[in-house]
Order: sequence, then C-alpha cells, then structure tokens
Amino acid sequence: MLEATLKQGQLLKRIIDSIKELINDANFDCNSSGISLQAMDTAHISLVHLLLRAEAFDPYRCDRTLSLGVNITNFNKILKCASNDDQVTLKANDEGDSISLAFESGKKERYSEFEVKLIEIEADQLGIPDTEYSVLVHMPSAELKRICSDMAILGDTVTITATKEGVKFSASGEIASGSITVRQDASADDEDDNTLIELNEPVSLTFALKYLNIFCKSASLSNRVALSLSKSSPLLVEFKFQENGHIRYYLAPKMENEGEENADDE
Amino acid sequence: MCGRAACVLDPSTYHERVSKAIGSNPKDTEWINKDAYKPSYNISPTSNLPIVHKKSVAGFYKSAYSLLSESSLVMDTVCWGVSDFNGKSTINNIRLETISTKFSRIMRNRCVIFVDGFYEWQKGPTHTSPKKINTPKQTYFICPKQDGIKKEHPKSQHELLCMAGLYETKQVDSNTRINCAVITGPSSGTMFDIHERIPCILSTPEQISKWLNGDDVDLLPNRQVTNEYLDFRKIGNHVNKAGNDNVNCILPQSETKGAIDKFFFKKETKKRRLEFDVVDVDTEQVKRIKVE
Repeated sequence: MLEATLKQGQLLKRIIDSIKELINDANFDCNSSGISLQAMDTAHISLVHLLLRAEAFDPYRCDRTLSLGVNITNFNKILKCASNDDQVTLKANDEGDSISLAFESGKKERYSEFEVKLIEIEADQLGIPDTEYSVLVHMPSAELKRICSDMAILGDTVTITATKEGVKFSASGEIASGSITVRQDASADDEDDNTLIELNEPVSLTFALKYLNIFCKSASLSNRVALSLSKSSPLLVEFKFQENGHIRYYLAPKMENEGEENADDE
Repeated sequence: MCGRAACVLDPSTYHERVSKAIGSNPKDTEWINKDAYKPSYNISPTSNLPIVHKKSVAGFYKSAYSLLSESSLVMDTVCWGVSDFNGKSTINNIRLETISTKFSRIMRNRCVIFVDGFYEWQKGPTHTSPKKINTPKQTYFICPKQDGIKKEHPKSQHELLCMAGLYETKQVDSNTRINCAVITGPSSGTMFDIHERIPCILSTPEQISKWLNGDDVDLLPNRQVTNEYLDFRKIGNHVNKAGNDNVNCILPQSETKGAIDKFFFKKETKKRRLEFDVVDVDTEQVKRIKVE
C-alpha cells in the first residue's frame, strides 16, 4: 500500500495545476523510492516527467510498486479543496480502485478526506535516452516565463539560437518581429538571479510557444529553470524542487517546412 | 457510428477504381455531379460524399429498370446526412435494426459508398473493461488491409472500402438534391473493442450487387469478415479538427510530424518474478521454483 504525507500540500497543488492544461490522464507510479509520473500531451508534441522522491514526504511508505491512474482535471478539482498550508496525505491500497486524499490544516483544526476513483490507463512507459546536450542554460524561471510570454505576442513559434554571444529567443509574426538575448551573468548578489550558459556547440531550434508558455506555469515551483538543447533532440525544460524531485518537460522541435497544424488539439 | 471518412483519390483514379469495383468500366459509368467531388482526408457529415446508386427512373418504368443489370448504376456526388425519421434533424448513420421501422420511406433507395477508410473514436467505459471510467479517447483509422493508403503513394492500388448506405431525394427550389447516410450494425471482434457499431461493409462484388439490386434488408453484411478484412490503425488527434485536411490525419500516431514519441524508446514491461521453496513429498528435498 501507499501512504505518503507532504507537509507542504501547496507543492502538489501547484504541480497538478501546472500540468493540467497539458495532460488529461496520467498514471502516478509509486515505488519505494518515490512517486513519478510520465505522460504525453494529447497531440504527442510534449512529454512531462515528474519525480517526487520519497524524501519529499514525511512519512513515506510504499511496499509494492503501484500504478495509480487519475484524471488530472478531476484530481486538480479535489486538490483545490486543500489550503496552501495544509498537510496532504495520499493513501492507496494495493488492489483498490481509488486513491484517498486527506488534508489537514496547519493548526489541525480542520481535517478533510476525499476518495478519488482511479482509472485504467494503457500507456507505454517511455525510456528517455541520455543525451549530451550542446547547450545548457540555467536561468531564473521568472525570466524564462517573461521571455515566453513576450515572444507569444509576436508569433506562435520561438527560435532559440545559442552561440558564444548568448542565447537568443526570436519570434516573428504579421505585426512585428523581435528577439530577446540573454547573456552569461554571474554577478548578481542572489545566486537565484544568475544566468549561466554552458555551450559546447552552437545550436538553433524552433519550438511552439503555446507549449513553452504552459511549461512556464511551473515557474511557481522553482526559482530556477534549466534549458537543455541539442540538435535533433527535444528541448528539455527542468524545474527542480530543492533536492526532492523535479518536473521535466520535453518538447519536440518544429521541423523545417512544417506548418502550424501540428499544434492543434482536439 | 461512422462520422468521419477519408477519400483521397483524384477524380479520374477514383472513377476508374469504383467502376472496376462495380464490374463496369469508366466509359460506361456515368458520374453525376462529378465536379462536386473533392478528395479529402477528412470528410465530415454535411460535406460531399461520392456514392453509387441505381439510375433513378420515374414511376412506371422503375420496375422495368430494376430488372436491368448493374449497367444501370451511376456514380453521384451527394450530401452526407439524411433527414431523421421525424424530419426534425439530419443524421449521418442509419441503424440496420431500424431501417424497416423508421426509414421504410427510403429503404429501397440503396447506395454504396466507396472510401479509403473511416475514423472511429474509442471511448470508455467499455463493455470489456468496466473499470475504465474516463480513459483517453484513442482515434483509429479503419481501412481494408493490404497497404491501406500510403503517404508516398496515395494512388497505389489499394482496395477501397465499400459501405452500404441509403439515400433520399429532396426537392430544393427547382433542383433535386440527394442526401445519403451510412448504415451501421453491431460490431464484433477488434472493432467491438473500439466501438459497438460499425458501418455495414460489403467486401465482395457479389455483396455489393446483392445489396444494390436486392429488396431484402437481411442481405446486409456479414460482419464476420471485419477482423481479417480490416486494418485498425491507431492515429493521432489531427483528424479531430474538421478543418485539418492532410496526410497527418491518417498517419500512425508515432509518424505524425513533430511527435515527441520518436525521441524516446519503449521500455519493456518488467515481469515480476516470484520464487517459492517447495518440499518434494517423495524425496523430502527442498526445491526452489520460479514463476514469472
């Protein structure tokens, strides 16, 4: 069985809130080392990989590997019933058909319990190959969020070009075109404000801004974000939650001569 | 139910292929309203659909004509969707079971619809797995086996899928308009796991001829044929948007351009291995057995 308590329920609330636009249903795979989730969006353009290590919970107990399929929208609705400072406990039996959520307020004066029905999801587990990325950019997540929302004013796609001069985000559309360049800067007093660029090889790739802007909803989970780019590989956008886990988004690059239709959803 | 189809051959190839399928040749097969035919990967109800029906002959001569062979067949481009039995709405499918009760007015207006294939959306809860309460919808493209439609060779000699249908004629202003609907029956086999209904598929020239020339509704198909005859291809969601009309509609999920799947590899599912110590009663030796 699974029993896991998160002291800061806010973390789970924010995680689910940030992925709800991307995926409809997903399996929480639970084992003794923690809880993970891997899912593709409905259009199969991006992949989300979430990991919450056992250390993120106190206590954490999971005797057997469990796969708990949930509808993310419904799960999010239930989590909205928890306050930000509530302690959240997840419980599931080995053969059960539901997951139970318990929210306890900081002063313990309020205790709520919910049972969410599980669903059966047939999804292949995808293996993620180890890639040596050509460029690695560590930057404040708020800065990436701002860049992506600014670029979305101009067009549907952004071209990320990394050279030794810096990393340039450029977009163009009917009304205007523009670019934002970020450069290496390690001088800020607060380490979180630094921008660090590791460049092995210059690279230039184009991505759908719609997805990047959805990824940036995770900026509330971490002050820092890491972008990893490599030619003919998906873009990796990673937000780490201290040492206790991460949420990684993989986004397929736009191919040359490709129309906009791929970004269409139902 | 069948509410989306693909028919991508250019008019002349389509004309030739359909003529051949009905045992005729293109010169002898008239195609009424040919200009209205537009090849499409995403044909939805209310748009134009090419059909084959018997030449409509007024009044007295009608019975005489029905004695004629298939040479009285014509191709026609018509609107997909007939009036409901109460005339209040338009429907794109007619249930096989209700033809004689609800659609007796048009039950003799037989037609067949040749397409490359049709689309179906699998949804839950399914009859096979009641636990599925809200599983994600999987879209399928269903076409005759062989090579189906290939991206590189849309004109290759693949077999067209022939569905049985009924049509109605309507007088709109001074023009006669023809509308058609696809007949569906209960499904079986693989199709049953996707959807409980399937278009009535005519897989041989005899079945086509029997349907078009017969009077009996019971003649309709033979659904045993579907599993060996049809290819069920998992595709992406590109077709969901009626405006999307390109080859991406029918491509397998993993081949859709820009798909993230191709960057990753499928993990093999781990088998759980259990080990037991068993005491052999005769020899009293302890054996360890493994079960996967």
